[in-house]
Amino acid sequence: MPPSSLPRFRSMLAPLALVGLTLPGCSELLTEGGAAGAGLGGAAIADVVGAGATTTTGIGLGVQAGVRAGLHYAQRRAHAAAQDRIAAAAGPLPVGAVAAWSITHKVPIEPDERGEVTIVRVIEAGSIHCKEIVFSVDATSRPEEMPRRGFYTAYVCRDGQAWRWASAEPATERWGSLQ
Amino acid sequence: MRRCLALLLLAPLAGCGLAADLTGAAAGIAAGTATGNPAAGFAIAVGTRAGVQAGLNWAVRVRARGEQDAVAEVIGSLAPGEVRAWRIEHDIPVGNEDGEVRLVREMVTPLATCREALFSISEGKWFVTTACRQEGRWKWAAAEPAVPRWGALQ
Repeated sequence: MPPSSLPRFRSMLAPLALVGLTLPGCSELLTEGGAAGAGLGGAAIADVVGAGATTTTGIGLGVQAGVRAGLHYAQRRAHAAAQDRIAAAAGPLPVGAVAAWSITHKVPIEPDERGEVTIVRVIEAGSIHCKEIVFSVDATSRPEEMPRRGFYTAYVCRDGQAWRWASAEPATERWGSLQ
Repeated sequence: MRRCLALLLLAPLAGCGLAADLTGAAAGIAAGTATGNPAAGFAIAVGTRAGVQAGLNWAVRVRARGEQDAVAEVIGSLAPGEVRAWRIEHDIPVGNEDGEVRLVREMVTPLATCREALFSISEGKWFVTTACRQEGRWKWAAAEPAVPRWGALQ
């Protein structure tokens, strides 16, 4: 690709970045779009500096894979923070009591959420303390994404002084589109 | 051409998960060959892949939601001790499932009424899940696993 066509690549990146910014809740589009955009940038630069076809593709794919891994890491961190907030709200509650929870992300990679949480039952086994919870997601920073109140069930367990999310992953037979 | 053939041969082995990669690769190889420009080929490959992947994931999720709604609806209609059948018939008649649902317990909380139930899929495998009543209907309520247990899920 001649250097003169680099701006054209930039103009292709801009809509991708825009899509990523306007729909950060659509994490899949963000990941795919962001990684693809970064890959394109990497390939475009490699091509401009005169790398061959194989090197260009290799650099593009490498950058794309790196950015995708980075975005997944950021999404997992943001999601872990949300789970921690719900678990922290549920931790001190007795069965039947209701508390509010909310999460505001520093980086808008996942939607801000708030809701309530209540305890269904306490599960005690020796030194292991766990609780079954029902929590609601009442609103997000993008109301069009979840226009109604949703209720969900999960487990939290005590880890030292803190309470942590304890629901295990679904059976591999039930993964379906998760991977 | 030979590379395309190899990719095609891989497709049935890999299942649905590689479809986006293969479509992207095929589009990229075609574009790269046609234009003689590796960067253009790469751009078309990753662009196609991203689009196809997002579309595929959306389609698979819509189907999974249909299945969850079918099970949750039966969970909501169960009386204690009752066994009922559930069935999902997709618009595209591939992967239709059916099985049985049994109520384990009802959880009445200040927030919502939820139920824990056992459900089976056709081969007789049993699973436990939860459903909660929201806005007049029953919806699947099992929340996502803890992030440290995600592993390869993402």
